[in-house]
Amino acid sequence: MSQATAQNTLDLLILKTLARGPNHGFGITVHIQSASEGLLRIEEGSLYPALHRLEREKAISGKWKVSENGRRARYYTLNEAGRRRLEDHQSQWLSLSAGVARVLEVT
Amino acid sequence: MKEWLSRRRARDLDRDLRDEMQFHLEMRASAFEQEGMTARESAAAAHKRFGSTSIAHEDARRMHIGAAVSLLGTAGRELCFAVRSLRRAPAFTATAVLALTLGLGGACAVFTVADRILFRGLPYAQSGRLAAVGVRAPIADHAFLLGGDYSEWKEERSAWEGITATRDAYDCDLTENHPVRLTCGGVAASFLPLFGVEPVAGRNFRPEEDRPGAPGAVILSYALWRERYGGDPGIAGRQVRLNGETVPIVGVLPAGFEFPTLASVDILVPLRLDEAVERKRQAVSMVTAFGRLKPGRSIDQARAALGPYFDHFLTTISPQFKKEVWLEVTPLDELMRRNARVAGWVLLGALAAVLGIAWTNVANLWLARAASRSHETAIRTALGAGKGRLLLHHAAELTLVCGCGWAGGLCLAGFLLAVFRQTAPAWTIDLRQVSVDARILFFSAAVLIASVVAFSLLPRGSRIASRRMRLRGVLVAAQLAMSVFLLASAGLLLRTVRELSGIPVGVRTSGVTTVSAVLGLPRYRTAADRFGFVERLESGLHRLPGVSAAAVADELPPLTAGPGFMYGSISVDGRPPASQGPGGRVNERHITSEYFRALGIPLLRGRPFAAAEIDAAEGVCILSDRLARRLFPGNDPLGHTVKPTGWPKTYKVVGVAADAKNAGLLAEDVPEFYIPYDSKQGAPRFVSAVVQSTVKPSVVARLVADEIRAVDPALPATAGPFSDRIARLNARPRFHAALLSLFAGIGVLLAALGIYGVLAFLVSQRSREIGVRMALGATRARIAGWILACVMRWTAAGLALGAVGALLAAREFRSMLYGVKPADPRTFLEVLLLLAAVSVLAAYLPARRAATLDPAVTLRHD
Repeated sequence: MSQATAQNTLDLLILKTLARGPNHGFGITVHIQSASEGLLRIEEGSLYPALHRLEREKAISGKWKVSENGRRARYYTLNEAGRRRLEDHQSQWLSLSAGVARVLEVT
Repeated sequence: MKEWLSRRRARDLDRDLRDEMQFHLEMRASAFEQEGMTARESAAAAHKRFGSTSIAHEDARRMHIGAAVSLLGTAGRELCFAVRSLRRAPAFTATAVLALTLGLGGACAVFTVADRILFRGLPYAQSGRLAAVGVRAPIADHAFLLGGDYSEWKEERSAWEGITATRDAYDCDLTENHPVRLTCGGVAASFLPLFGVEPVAGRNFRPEEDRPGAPGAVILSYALWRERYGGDPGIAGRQVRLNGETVPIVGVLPAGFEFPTLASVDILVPLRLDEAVERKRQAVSMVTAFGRLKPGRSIDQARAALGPYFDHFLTTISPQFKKEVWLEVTPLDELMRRNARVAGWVLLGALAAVLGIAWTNVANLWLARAASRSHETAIRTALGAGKGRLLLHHAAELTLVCGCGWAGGLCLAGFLLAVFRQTAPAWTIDLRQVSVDARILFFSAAVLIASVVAFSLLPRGSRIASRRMRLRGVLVAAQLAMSVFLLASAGLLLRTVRELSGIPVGVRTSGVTTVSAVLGLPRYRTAADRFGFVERLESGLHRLPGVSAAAVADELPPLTAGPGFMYGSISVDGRPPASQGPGGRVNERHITSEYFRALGIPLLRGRPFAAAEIDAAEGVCILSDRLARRLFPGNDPLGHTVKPTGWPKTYKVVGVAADAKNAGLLAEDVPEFYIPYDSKQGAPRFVSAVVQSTVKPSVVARLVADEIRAVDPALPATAGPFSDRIARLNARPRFHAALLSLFAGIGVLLAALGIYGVLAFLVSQRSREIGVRMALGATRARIAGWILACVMRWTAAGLALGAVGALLAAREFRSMLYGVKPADPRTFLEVLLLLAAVSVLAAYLPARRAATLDPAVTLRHD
């Protein structure tokens, strides 16, 4: 996978996770791992740069809140721009993966 | 403000990022713990899973902050980091800063001096078009014009824009409430406009003030205006008393003004040449003339234009005189700087050498540092520091080191210049105004920026240790080569000074005090007035404590006294002079009877003047040995009579005195014609007293000055030890030798430091190899020998190269040497031996450390 595709994929997973409601970085990794039934494991080192990039692009916004276990954590919320981007990316991804799946089925 | 905000934001961001990732790690660790890991294991596993927090931090950070701001922040952080890492390497930091301070300080100071000598124009508008103009003859050591000729020559307009005249600077007295001895210079009203010099206050002389009998007017030097009159802007029109006359101040000279003969002049007075009388040769005065060429005219064209005037001059003089005169037209720049030019280039060479040694030293230290932390560099690279980041870090360290060296160097330069100002012989070049200026700041900053760039690009990355070592060996050899040049130059000049000091001056200087004054006041108008003063002073001096001899003369060696007369004009025993041309100049000196005893000049024949012969009707004289041999070859001159043409008296020779230096150290002595003071005509305005005393010179100087004050309270006088006057004879070579010795010292110190540094590093780098060799049976002597062989190879290469270079350079400054050949084998041998000894000495400590290494320890290490 090229870097751009990897970045797009990571963005998509983050945005999709946040569409369920505000969450912190650790929560996002946990969700992706459990939702993919352990198939996807986020590179944690690249998660935070991606989060901050999305924040700067105003797709998401981060705020310090107290977490369920009483710790201070930075929670990210999906913005309007992020929601639009999620829809775009999601449809692109679905058509791309459907296309790829068909090509694979043919052989 | 904006920057502060963004920096603040950056700080908040950094904290947020850290907290955020910390939270993540803790959550992950607690998740691991729930899976059954211990607290320690889970924390480690969490870190492992996350990867590099610092890379993630840096990447996330970059998302927020623009690249430029990020770079700035990075540079700031690198600078802080550099401070910390330099503090951990105090030896490197101190040595590098010291090397730069010494090198740069010395270089800046010398550059300031050399710059003034070599590159700065004269302080006149378009000075390239100014030239000294006149007739050269054996009677004077510079070109002159007779007043009448000047009034004709200045009309030349085909190649010359104008020709102006000055009179030699002379002592004059400001006789106000605090009388002081000053130097006055006479100039024509056309002088300042022709040289393009504008008074900073007031005005130039008016043409009517430059006429004979015109009321006086003076222009003050800037320094005198500031010191004595507090820089009063309304000074013009104020009256001063000069030599007892009241004259108005009309203007003030600008700060950088130099009199074209380099005399330091305090006051300008109008020349007031009586041109009508001079043209008829009813009065003859000598002036020093300067002209300005018309734009586009060459010096040869200008000389040719004066040809007819010179030919006319030749028709007005006696035929025997014609053979010994020639026309001189010399560019002013050449005239004023020609003595200093070679010295300037030598100093500049020394500057380059010192700077080069300092530079190679730092380069070497830097290479050593880069090599010794290849480990650290590897770790930082592994942790994600990019190539640019590492370069930035190195540049930050270098900037800090060079910046400190720069600041230190400028302080040192300021200090050295203050020393130069005190010690430089005044007439070499005017150093009174030198200081660290904008050009020096620029020069040194340029050197430093170039250094930082060059050092950063040094091949630190070279993996091959032996190649790196070879580069450093080359640097050490280069340092030694430059040291050879410095030491050899200094050695040759020191030998010159020693040779010069060894020249017999012909007078005794120890325990001799002199005092001089000028009888310029109206009350000394007649010879009888001046004679009375001399008599009163002489008897007063004899009453001082501890005086064994005291005398008065118009001038003392090493200077000649009056204008003198031509040898060819002397008639012996009434016979007219043999007409073999003017035969050069003879100096007449008025003295009192104890003159020879006070100065320790031996009388070879005859006797000193008797008291009765002073001011007697019948003339007596004493000849210098040189004059006696020439006038009376093979005969006893005693009892014969001599008479210079035009003199009223005939003089009987009563003695012959040994020669004493009176025309500088190297020039041939001028024959001396000693005559007693005479109240009719022979009592010059210049008075110098000389006292031989057993009392401390400083005390005698004060007593002698008091004695003059007792005779005339309004007369300013300067007193001091006679040795000062003699020391002035070789002040210039001494100054040059002192400067070069200073640089040679700095250079050798730096070179020794360099060798030591490289070897110490070599030993610590190769301690394992040394350990292995020892374990395999190498003896301690063998190891030490290996280190020394290393040094000797570099040393031999450096010394050979340096010797060749120094030989070539010394040939170029031959003119500064006396009594020693440029390729003086003794000097060169001494220099080479000294440097070889220095390099062995510098190698001694590292070699000993290598020899005493314990193989068991070095091999177990790491």
